[in-house]
Amino acid sequence: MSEQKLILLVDDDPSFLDATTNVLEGFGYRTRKAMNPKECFEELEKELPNLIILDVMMARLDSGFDVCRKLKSNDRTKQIPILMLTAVDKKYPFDFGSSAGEPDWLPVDDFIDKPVEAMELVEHIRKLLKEK
Amino acid sequence: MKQSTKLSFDDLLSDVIVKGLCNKCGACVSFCTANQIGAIEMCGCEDNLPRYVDPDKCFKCGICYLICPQTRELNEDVREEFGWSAPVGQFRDILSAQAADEKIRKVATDGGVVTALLSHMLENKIIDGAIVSKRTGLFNREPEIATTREGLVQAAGSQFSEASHLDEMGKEYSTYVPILPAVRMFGPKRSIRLAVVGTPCQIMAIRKMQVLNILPSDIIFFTIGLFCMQCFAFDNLMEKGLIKKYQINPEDILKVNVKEDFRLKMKSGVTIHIPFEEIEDIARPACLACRDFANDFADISVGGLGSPEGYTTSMIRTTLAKRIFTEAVNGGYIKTAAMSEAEKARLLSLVETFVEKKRERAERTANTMRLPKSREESSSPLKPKEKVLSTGDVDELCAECERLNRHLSWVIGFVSHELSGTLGTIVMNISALADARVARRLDEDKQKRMLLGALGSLKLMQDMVRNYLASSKANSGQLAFNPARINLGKDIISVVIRRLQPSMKMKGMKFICEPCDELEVMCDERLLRVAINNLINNAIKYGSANTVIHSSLRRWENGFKFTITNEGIGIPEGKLEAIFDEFSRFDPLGIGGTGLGLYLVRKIANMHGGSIKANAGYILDDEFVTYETMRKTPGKYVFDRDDKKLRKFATFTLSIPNHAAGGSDSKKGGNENV
Repeated sequence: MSEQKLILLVDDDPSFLDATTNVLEGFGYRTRKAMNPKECFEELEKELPNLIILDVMMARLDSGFDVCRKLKSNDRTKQIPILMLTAVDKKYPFDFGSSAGEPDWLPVDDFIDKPVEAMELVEHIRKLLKEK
Repeated sequence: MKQSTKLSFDDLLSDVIVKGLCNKCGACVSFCTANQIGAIEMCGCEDNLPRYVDPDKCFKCGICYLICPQTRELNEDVREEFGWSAPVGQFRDILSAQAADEKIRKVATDGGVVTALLSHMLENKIIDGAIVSKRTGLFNREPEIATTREGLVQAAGSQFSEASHLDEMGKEYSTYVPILPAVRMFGPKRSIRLAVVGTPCQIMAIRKMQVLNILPSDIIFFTIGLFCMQCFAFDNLMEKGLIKKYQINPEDILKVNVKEDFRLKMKSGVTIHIPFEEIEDIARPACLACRDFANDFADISVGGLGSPEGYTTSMIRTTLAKRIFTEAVNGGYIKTAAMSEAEKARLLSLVETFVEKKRERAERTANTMRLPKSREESSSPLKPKEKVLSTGDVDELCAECERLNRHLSWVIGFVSHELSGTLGTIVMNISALADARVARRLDEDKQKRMLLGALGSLKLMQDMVRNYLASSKANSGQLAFNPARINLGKDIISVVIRRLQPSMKMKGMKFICEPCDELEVMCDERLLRVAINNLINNAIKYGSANTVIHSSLRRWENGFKFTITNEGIGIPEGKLEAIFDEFSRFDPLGIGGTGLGLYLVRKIANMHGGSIKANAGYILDDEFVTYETMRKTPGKYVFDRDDKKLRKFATFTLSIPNHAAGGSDSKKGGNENV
């Protein structure tokens, strides 16, 4: 049996983390949870995951956007695929061109809108992990 | 521009200076001096007001009167010239940012954006110098032209640093280092370009001069405006008794800042928070009459308000500012915080709240003082008996409408986001159980937990909707109040605990109520259940996992006191009052919620003629030490406030007296917080 892949879940909603953990463990993944950027980086110190699922709106300024920029600019973590979750729909169009001239301001590997159904999330994960 | 005839410095004396409305910005003197007229000067005495040097030299040109920020002759012209729109003037972006250079951040009051921006402009030869205020004594400073980054850094953290127009305090303290006379240092050398950092009145004076195209405003290339509520003399703090009340030793003041309140950071690490209301009556009359908080006419406005520690709120107003700010970011001088549009809207909403506060105060001041009107206006024989809306009134009404619209949009965004997050959990749980491809991989225990998870989220959503509705009713005076005799323990606390048990279990928390007196009181059962539910739910949400929530229920004033304490994220000292405001939330972990829970508790307490109070502090060797205790016993508790392992706590005390007088709404209730 191949080694279980590790997924780091970063979201500020503990209930969502629990629900997603249950689903991912059902599909044979190991999971670690972080509720804010600080916990995310602490988890990364302990063990590097195969994939990071990152919520974009963690109700603070140094939330999802900033985390993914930091991850992708760090040699140790830049290869880890990031799947960004967002509860922000079209009502909040992000100004992708602004944020003061940073062209690569959101270097994520895949996006998915929240609310997301369990199977849809799993399919995105499989694609990023290049699984069948 | 309205035509004013035969105005002179005499008019400025009678309309502004004698009435105590002079901002001491020095605009009048700088014009008079730069144009070699030399009729007036800053007196250099204790008041440092403008005065005649030689009345015979006065041409009676009236320009000193026109460019004074306290007169209104040119206001419409400035608005038109700079494309002002309600409620906060034009702006292209609002964001939180900080200096990339750690050295600058270390000395700056907030994020050091002003210093970084000026460094960029100086080092890239966009400007030749910047007018800064250099420290010349413990509380004194004087204007100086900085032409190097070192010069800027030396001045940073004093008045010059963003949001720190109240940074320096002392006998001679004033917002006004009268920067404008400093321009005359350049004498006839007129090909230079300067940047100026100033308060709203200073920037307004510059804009008025620019509208008239008069010297020395031609050399002002870029303006950085500070958010400004008011300023005052340090002496007045002592007269007010605040020094004693807050036990301030002036020599121990490390930093002064203005954010949501007035803050003194002491060398001991303690930050003293003084609400603006407490210092309002010692503000200079000139400030009380001022309507501009957000420095509407600057190229960029900055302040600490609304941004997290170490960041500067920056309102980029003009095209020039946008270009320079972007260059500063690309050049590695400034780092911006990533912000969603919702976060920006929230930041803007906060600025607008302060804009509104300052305008309301100016209105009150206008009603009690005879402020200078436009000369044309005041000399008009047409004195309408009925109120006719002036251009200013219409502007104000438009500003209010726009503010309300923005607030409404912000509320809708806030509510949508919170509901959407909870919905996400429900969808994840239910979709997993409903989809056979997923469900077959979940054992019975997991399936049960997911069902309970969905149920918990639905309950949370129900709570949120209930709170939104209750808040809406409370705000429109439709929240019914039906007191009846109830048993607090049995009818309220037990019911709430039963309901919240699953959430506590999830976090490994315990709830203890001791003593829990058997009390029968006259209360509105439904409302009180909401209040107690919100308090306990709050303790669970913001409490640390595997801790105990302590509460007590005691007889008080024939009514009761319910106290609840939890270990967790605590509450910053400056938020102990503000946390009860509508949509206010201290949520560094981003747990989420309606932002209405504590607001409703206060409403409900007030309807019962009672009150709700928050307290907080640190847990040191298992001793719960409040901020208040630390202030009262300086030096007793010495610890590293930046220690990540520091334990914090929050306590709420709900006090409801015997309900004898019948229900009172929050406005009629006896609570001073409302």
